Amino acid sequence: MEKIINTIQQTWIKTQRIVILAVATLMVVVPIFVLSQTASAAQEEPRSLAINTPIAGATATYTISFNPASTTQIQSYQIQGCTTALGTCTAPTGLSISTGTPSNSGFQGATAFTKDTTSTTGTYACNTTNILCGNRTDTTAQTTGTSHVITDTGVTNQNATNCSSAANCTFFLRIYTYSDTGYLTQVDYGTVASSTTQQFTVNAAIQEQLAFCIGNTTADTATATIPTCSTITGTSVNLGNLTSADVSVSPVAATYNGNASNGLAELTTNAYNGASVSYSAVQQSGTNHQGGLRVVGATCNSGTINTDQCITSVGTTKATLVSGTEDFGMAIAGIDCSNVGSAYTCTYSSGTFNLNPATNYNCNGNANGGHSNTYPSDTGLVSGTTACSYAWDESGTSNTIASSTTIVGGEALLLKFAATPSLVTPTGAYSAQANFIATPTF
Amino acid sequence: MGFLYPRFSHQSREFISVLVLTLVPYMFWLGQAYAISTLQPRSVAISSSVPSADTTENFQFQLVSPDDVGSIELQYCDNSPLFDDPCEAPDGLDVSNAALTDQSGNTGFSIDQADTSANELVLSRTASAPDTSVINEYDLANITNPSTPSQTVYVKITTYSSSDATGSYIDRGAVAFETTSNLEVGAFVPPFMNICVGVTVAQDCSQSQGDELDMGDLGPNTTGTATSQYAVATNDQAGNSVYVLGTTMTSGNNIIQPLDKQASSQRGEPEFGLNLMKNSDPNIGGDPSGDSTSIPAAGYNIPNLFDFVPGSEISSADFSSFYTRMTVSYIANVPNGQPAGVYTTTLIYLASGQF
Repeated sequence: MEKIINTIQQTWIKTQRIVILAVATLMVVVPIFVLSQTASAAQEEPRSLAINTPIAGATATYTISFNPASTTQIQSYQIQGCTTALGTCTAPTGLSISTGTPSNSGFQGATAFTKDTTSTTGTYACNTTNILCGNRTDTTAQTTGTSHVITDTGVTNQNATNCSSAANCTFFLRIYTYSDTGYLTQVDYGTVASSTTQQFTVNAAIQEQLAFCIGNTTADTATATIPTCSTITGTSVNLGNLTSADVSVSPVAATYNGNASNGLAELTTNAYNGASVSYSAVQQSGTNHQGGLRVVGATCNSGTINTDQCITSVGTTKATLVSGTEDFGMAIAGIDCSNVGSAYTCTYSSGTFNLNPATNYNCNGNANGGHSNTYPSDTGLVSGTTACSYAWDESGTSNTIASSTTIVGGEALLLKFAATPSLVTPTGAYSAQANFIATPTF
Repeated sequence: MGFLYPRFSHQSREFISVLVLTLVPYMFWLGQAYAISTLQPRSVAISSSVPSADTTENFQFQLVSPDDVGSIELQYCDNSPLFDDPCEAPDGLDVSNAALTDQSGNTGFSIDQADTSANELVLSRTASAPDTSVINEYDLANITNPSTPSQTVYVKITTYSSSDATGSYIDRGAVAFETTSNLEVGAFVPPFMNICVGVTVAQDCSQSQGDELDMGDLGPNTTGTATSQYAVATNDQAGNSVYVLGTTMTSGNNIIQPLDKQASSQRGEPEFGLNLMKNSDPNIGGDPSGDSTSIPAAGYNIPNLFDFVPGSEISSADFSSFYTRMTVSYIANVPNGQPAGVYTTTLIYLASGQF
């Protein structure tokens, strides 16, 4: 009997040991399982937040991207804006991500998430502005290696009162995904950071610029190298001896007592609203035709009279000149771009220039675009009819000969003058003067 | 913030802090009230760019700020358009006598002479709210340009609420113009006179044919006739004269007596003469053609009447004239007993002007 009792006692002790060992084993194992279950809500990696404007208080678009750490279905998410990455979440002042319009991409499953601003029973309440909630009913397993994107358009950035009013201020978005639709069974989580920054303003002043000069030049093509305003010289164009057999067109060679020069008007201005170049004929002494090509002080008759010492002017409507038919005029033969440099593309022959000749002073045709931008053949003594059309207003009224709607970077008007006397145009030294003015509109 | 005002008591610090905080909104308000805007578009157009010339100026610009405007300041500088830079007055420029001749847009301005100087002009009015939707235009006269050629002049335009261009400014912007020398076009029309002589000549002297005439066999019952032509043109404002030089027809020592006064052709009478008209007795010649400025001279200007005075003027023009072609009619009559022989003469036509 005693043996039986001992056997029973030993058995009981063994049983106790087994139970104790089992309990101990359970005490060790259960936490491992529990902990293991907690650890299954792993960090989403990689993850990022891109914002399209960092200006405090600005309306922005947030693009939140992450790769799930597990294949568990995702049926809801919560994105929480906080001033810190860990610990109790304090909402950044002014931040409103719930007022944005979220969309999603990259999630497996065809059903899109719907924004939720009312639920309060989940891990976090969805009715606060610093939390963006979305849910859907879709149990599709997720792929861990692909990017899942939530784009929230219309977010209001945190304002400048955060970070003790420091202009540059970091904020965090904590991202939680759940396998259920009610924000309870967490799948993954991750935190991303970004920052609002102050707007950096660079101030500079560009002063109004104007360089306008008048001179003469031996250049007789639109591609010749001409002087800049700082080196320009000459104030006259000499057409030499006029005969009724020819039209004398600048430049007239010294052989014919000319000075082999064209007129030159060069303009540089940064006037954003453009500029114009005009001329007015200087009224010289004498009677009638005071602004024309005339002998200074001569008594001339009004109208077209050949026998006085005033050569008839073409007028404001351009026309060709015919040798022997008394006439005087001016034309823009071309636009010289040699001083424009790399400021912008300027090529006369291509019609790419800013200073456009006015119709009646455009040698070959209408204003820019209406002609071939071909430099005229008229030069020296032209027998018969000129190729180019000329105009000259002798009244003293201001006439615009070229204009621009934008800046002009050193474009030069090559001015041709042409005159022919009649057979009976009296002998004498004839001259005309013009005052050229540039008017920029800044 | 104690480091900002360490010498004040705690109460004073509190008071100053409250005061500063109270003033903050007003600072924002003031900053907004005096926000400076750039006048745009803006321009100045001058009537003359000649140095030292009297000129007019047309200013155009659009106001930006809605603040009351009581004055507009125009400051002329030759060194910089930047408002932060000191202004250097252009040499020779004088706006002190300027007159405001016209204005449109925001109007009611007059020149504030008390605040106007050689390079600064103030337009003044009772301050009132401007219309910022219009382009303002102000025309000024009696301005003297700077004396320096190729001088860029910047005009700084500033608006104020005050009527004398003092206090805080509202809008501003600079414009520019440049003085330039006139461009002169010169030409010389040389003296011109052309005469061509021949049996026949083109109206414009482009052709001339023949230099010899044959009047045939002369006798008491016949009148020898012949014609030649000349054309003449000149740009001599005083006109021209054509003279005939030479002698009557001669054969050795024998001559055909020239007509020394205008007379008709009489067969059997010793006569040598000429005129420049179309005749019917004898039927020769032609009237002048071309420019009517040239006309036959007295003695040679009546049909059927002839004359020959060597060295005399046979046609003239009182003004410059295009080509006039004259047809010279010659007659020769001989009496009975006129010695036989070959009678000839060489005549020279000479044109002259006075230039």
